[in-house]
Amino acid sequence: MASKKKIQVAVPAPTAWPLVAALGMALTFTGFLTTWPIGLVGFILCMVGFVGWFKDCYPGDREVELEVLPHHIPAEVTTSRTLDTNHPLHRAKLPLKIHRAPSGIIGGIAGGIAMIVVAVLGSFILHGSPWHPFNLTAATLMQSMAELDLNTFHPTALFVALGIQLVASVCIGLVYGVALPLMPKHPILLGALIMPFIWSFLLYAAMRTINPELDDTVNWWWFLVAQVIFGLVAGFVVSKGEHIHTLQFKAFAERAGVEKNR
Amino acid sequence: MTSQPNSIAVPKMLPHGHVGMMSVITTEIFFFATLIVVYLAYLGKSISGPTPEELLSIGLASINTVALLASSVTIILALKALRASNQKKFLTWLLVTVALGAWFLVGTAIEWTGLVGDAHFTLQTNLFGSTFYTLVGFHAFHVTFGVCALSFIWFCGFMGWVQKKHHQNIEYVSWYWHFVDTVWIAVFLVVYVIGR
Amino acid sequence: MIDKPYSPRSSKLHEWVTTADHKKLGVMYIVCGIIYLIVAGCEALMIRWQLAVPENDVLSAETYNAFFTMHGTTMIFLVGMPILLGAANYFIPLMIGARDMAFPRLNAFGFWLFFFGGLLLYFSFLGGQGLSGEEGAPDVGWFAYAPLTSTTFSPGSSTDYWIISLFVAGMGSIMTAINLVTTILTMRCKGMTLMKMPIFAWMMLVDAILILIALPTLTAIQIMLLLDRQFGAHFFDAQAGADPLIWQHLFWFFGHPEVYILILPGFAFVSEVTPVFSRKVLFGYPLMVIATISIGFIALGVWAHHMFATGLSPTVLAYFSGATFLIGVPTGMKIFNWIATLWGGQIRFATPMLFAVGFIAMFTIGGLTGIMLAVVPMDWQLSDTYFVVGHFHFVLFGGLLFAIFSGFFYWFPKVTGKMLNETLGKWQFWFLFAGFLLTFGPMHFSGFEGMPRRIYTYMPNRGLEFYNMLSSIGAVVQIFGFGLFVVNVLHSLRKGKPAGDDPWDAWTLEWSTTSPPPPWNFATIPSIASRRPLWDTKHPDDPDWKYE
Repeated sequence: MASKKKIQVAVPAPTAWPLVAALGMALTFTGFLTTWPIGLVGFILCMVGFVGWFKDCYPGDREVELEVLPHHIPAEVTTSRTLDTNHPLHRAKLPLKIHRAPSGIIGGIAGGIAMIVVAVLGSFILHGSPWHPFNLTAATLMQSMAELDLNTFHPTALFVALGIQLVASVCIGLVYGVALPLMPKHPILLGALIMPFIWSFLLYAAMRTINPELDDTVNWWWFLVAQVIFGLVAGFVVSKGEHIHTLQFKAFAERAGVEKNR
Repeated sequence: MTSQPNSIAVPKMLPHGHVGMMSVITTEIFFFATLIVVYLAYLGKSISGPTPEELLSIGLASINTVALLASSVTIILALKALRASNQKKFLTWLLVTVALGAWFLVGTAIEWTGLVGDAHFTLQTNLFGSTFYTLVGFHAFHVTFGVCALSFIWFCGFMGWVQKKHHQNIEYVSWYWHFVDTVWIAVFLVVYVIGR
Repeated sequence: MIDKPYSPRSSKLHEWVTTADHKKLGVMYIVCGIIYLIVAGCEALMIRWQLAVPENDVLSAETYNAFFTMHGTTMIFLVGMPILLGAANYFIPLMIGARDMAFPRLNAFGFWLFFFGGLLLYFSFLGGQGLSGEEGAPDVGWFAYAPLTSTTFSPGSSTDYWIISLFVAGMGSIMTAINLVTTILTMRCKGMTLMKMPIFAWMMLVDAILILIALPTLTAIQIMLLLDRQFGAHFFDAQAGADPLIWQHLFWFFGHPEVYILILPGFAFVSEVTPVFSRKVLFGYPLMVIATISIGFIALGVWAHHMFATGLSPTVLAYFSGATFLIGVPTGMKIFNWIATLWGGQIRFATPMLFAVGFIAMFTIGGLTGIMLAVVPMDWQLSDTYFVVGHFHFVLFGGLLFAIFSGFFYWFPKVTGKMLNETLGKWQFWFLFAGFLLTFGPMHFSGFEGMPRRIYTYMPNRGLEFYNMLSSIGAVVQIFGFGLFVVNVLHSLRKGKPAGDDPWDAWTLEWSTTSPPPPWNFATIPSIASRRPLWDTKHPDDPDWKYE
């Protein structure tokens, strides 16, 4: 590379024929809208352009040779950064530790039960009956609930509401199980306070439009308390769960369970 | 460079023309697919006559089809001759291909003259007229383009500018020609067989 | 055949218009795109001025129609397309270690077709009047629904100009797409197997294939429409038995993939910027490739979600709603991959990174409102309201445009050899970010309140004044953002800090050559062993190829 001889590199020769052909094509179509002479001129230009273009490519591609000047030579590729390749976390994949999946499920169920307790308590205070929150939850799925008295006991509603509560709690618990160890710090603060606040607000804002009738019957302050209790209990249970290392530093055979090392 | 492993995989790559022509054909397939979809969607939707059954004859179209299909075979023979450096045979088969393509165009012209002149059936007559002339017309336009390109190659070959080393480029042109043929099979089936 | 080198007498202009160099063509694409961005931005400002207060009369109803049509058409075909094609043109050969595109002259042809197509569209302001004495520019909306486009409802030739300009520009895009596919598939340097390509090249490959599939449909229906208007055919004439809905189906068969054609390059820019400014390798490269390919496939099968309100059968509705939900999955995978790339990295909030993070956040919101619209009953309520306008501006402005700015700040040093000013860049970001949220956030609410799109004014006391005023104020805030951008570019071109070859300490091949690169890109064609070839060179003791 460092020879004193002039180095030359061939690149495609500049050509105006594609420009001429493109202008011709545009004018051809303009001819449809204006007058035919414009179209004719366009068509001729287009043909001339294509012939010229062909001559650029036949018998071989026309090229020009350009000289490599000093300012064309790139500097050596370097970096000012240094690596500590001996660091144990070098090339580690985050997260290093995760929770076992069951801890999320258990956390979700625990949070769900705590939430039911708070909701029933609230219902006693506000409505004098424990059944209000169950009926209301069931009403999100069952249209027929709209005609019933929300403060009396309906076995179907209880069943449906508990089902909804179970599914939702387990799903969110699983998300907690995956997400909480990923948080840089204060997992309980985030899981118990920030997240419930955000989704309560979103529900509050959206419910006005989606279902105004339901919106009227919900006491949003008490709703928020129930959500926060869920987050606290679920977050606490999840983060007390067992922390295990991911298998990223293990060999494939070990990860697949074929081989065991200690 | 010291930072590289001992052996570096050299990816197997196709020639430019190969991928380029395949891309052109891909985009053309979707162009014709749109025209065919519209033809089928509007089949039998015309409020006033005439209908395809009354106007289209399968006889002339069949002769055209045979000509165009035959031209696909002759272009393969021409390419084979070129690869064997048999210039004379190459030019002959290429000329036959051009002639068959021209035959197809003349056949279409005869059909259209009949439709426009005798039956007064035009683009404006009804929905069938619009879709029929557009679909068949755009195919014929592609055939015309192909015939022009092949004639040009024949002329270049006649002047001795096309040699064995160009066989790959000629092959890409032949793909285009096969594509135009394939589209015709689809058009023939849709317009003259299913559509009647 | 070898010519003489450039004669020293040839002028700069001559050098640019006759060039077949992918880098000059790329720059011309992007410069045209930015000029049209300013033009279409001014059209949008006029729209916001008109809508700032109820019963305003800055624009007449007819002019308003022309302005929103031109705004949409310009932004999609003359801003989004050229900028993405220009970026692909410039960086694909550099990233895959090639000296030029596969067909350099076809490349020039594609650019000039786009150029003259764009001029034709804007010529309609003058030329539309020429023949029949009707008002100027196209005014049928950017998707030009039949039968509004028939000669009965749209006399004059403005709609014809819309057809032929997009037809010509579209042919240019197809040519460039052919070129891109060929270049990526045939010109990769030694060692660059498909799974070692920069993710940019993968996304552009899928993008170009989508162009090849989607654009001919637009071309075909535009030809039909032209035949209808100029030669008396009946393709979209309901009185002759035709079904105008066919236009909607076929237009959106083009139009929806077009949305992905626009956003995939945005993904590509962000996927290059995020790892460099997090000092981490892109998380889940194979997954990213799979997600890109599946987006390409699914994008072809969701078009009728633009047509939920047209009375499709329940089966069709269910299919298209489901498919639309499905496309959220690969898109979500990408978002999580970007977040995982950021996570735990040494993040530097330089301007490209600011825009990239802005992209991820705003695109997520735009994507989520898209999922809302995929719910059929929700769409029946919100179809053609400002909610939809808000949704796609979050995708295309908060998404695509932020990604474009991210890429622009990232690669400007490579293209010009000068750094853009960081302070101005950050001010630009915050002005744009605030202005953007202020303009398009309230649109969701005015849409919920029932404000239809494409109306030139509205009545007072319907709960719309506040939101519209907010949107218009936001538009004014954006002026500062765009103004700073123009100032920054003009200033930096002349007095910018010299960039050096590799100002960001990046890893893809374009940073191994000079800034600006020489006409031949690489004097010696490089050979690579991993997805981050420059990492391997910079850290010979710990190269990537041992781990890939």
